[in-house]
Amino acid sequence: MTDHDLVLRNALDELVPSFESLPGDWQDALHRARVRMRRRMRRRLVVVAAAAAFAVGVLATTSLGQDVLNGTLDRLGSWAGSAPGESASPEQQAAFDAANAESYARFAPGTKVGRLVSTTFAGEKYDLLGFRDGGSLCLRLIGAKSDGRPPAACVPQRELIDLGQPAAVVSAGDVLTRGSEAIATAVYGVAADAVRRVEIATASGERHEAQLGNNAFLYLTAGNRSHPETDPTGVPVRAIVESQNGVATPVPIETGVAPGPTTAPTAFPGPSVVERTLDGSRVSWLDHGDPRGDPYAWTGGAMRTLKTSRVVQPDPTSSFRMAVASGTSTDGYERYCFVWLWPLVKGTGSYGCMLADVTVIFGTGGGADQFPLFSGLVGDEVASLELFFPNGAHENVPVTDNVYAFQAPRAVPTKLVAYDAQHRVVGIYML
Amino acid sequence: MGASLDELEAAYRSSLPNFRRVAAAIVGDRERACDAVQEAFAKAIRKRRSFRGSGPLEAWLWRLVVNEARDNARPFEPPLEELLERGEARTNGGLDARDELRVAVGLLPERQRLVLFLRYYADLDYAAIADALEIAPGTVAATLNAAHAALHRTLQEVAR
Repeated sequence: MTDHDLVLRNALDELVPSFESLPGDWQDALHRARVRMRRRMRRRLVVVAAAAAFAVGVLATTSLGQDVLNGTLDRLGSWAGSAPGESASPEQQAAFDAANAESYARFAPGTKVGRLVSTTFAGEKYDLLGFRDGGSLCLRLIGAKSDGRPPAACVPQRELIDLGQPAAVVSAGDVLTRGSEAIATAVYGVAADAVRRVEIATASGERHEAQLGNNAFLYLTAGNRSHPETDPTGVPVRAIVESQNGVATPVPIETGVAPGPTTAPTAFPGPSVVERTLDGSRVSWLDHGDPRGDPYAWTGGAMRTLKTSRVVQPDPTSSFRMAVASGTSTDGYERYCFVWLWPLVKGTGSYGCMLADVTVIFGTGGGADQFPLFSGLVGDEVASLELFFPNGAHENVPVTDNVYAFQAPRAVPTKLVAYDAQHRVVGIYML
Repeated sequence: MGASLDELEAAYRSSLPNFRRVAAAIVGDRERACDAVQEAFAKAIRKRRSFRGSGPLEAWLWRLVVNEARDNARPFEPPLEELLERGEARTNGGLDARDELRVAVGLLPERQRLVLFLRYYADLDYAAIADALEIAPGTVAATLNAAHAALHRTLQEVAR
């Protein structure tokens, strides 16, 4: 350091004294991060609530109210047959069958694929395909030349109905690529019979009409607009869904950071008080190595000792499966481990491990972009799970052999409640 | 890629005084500087998954802190006009050396001020400053030299 540096440093020291003695507050930073996310969600909810209130007003005062009531996602005329929309080409059906045969978890044999919307973008033909998987509606976007297609995006229809919207955005993060080049970003979803127009609004306020057909819609835009970081102004923020009576309903889209816990349980439908505190809980059949589910040759990373490894179908109405294992990991801890097994994904999926002593083990990821899958294990003392939505609707979450899986909308908060055998609340989790 | 909460907390705890000091130099107020740093880290927490790892995490955090402080900055404290008025008075013996340095720093172009603050209040080397401000290391050196030259006359008086 030169004399000049030293003189300057000493002089600047006098201008802005040190903060060394002032303690920090990391919890405050965490709190601010949560509050800001909560405010964002509230703003979205206010928009949705205002639109809902307006729609209710229309229902009460016009003869077209019945049309609005029909505008929910239990009214999907094009999905009534064995395959929705028009028949997919033999090549598309064959490609689907081949991908299905290569994956560990499979859609039911004979699943028929239909073509919902077709369009040409940047010289390439794209087809939005649809099919049913038990109680779920599945969409898959196929390009003639683009590559790296994700597997199908499936959403339980009962959940779409619970949300009470005339349309649902299933995916807004599907970036179509050719080599390393991002050709387009796709926004697609399903729409009720009563929907006559869907527009996609971007962060900058622009609105673009989506192509609508066969109870589905598709919007393609150039480049990667899947996240505010890649395009802060062009990223889609909501769909504006117009029903036959002219009522426009905003449907929120979440493309940013996954919001995480943002809403206080007391300010949300469903129980808000934990009635019994569990001091950890085990999964006895995994601990004992009982032969539940089907055998599974463990692919989920090294274990020092592997007690058991089985594959379970947590929701009988969905083809998703989860391999679960118990054992001692290489660091010496007892752990429960999972492998996520998706249809149309070649081989087996990623895996994760958790310490084997918790009430509800959460795993997230996969599923439809706007309806991510939550899956994991619950301890023996958890008898049931229930999912609550902002509008007060709620549904039971299937639990099979302590394994659960459900999808929750990414754009609005939901609350998961765990009960014991006496239906006492043992856990509340804002998602 | 993304940054973990643990990494962010570690950076917060290890470099907080430096973050606050640079923020204070920018916003001109200790309390608002602390607030700006807290807000910057709240932003980092919210956006941690979007940290792409193309540069050091520390540089990304510095950018957030500097940007947050700049958004909350008011005219260099005390208000420049007031100091200049007092500077005129100083010829009659009214302005002390510290105020005079403050005036000189306040008159520097913004980039020179930021480079100066990161160099002397955060002890960052040229490469780290370049990463934080997304400029070339050579630009850091040139900018710092320019700031030194501009402050030279004032410093001579401060040093006396």
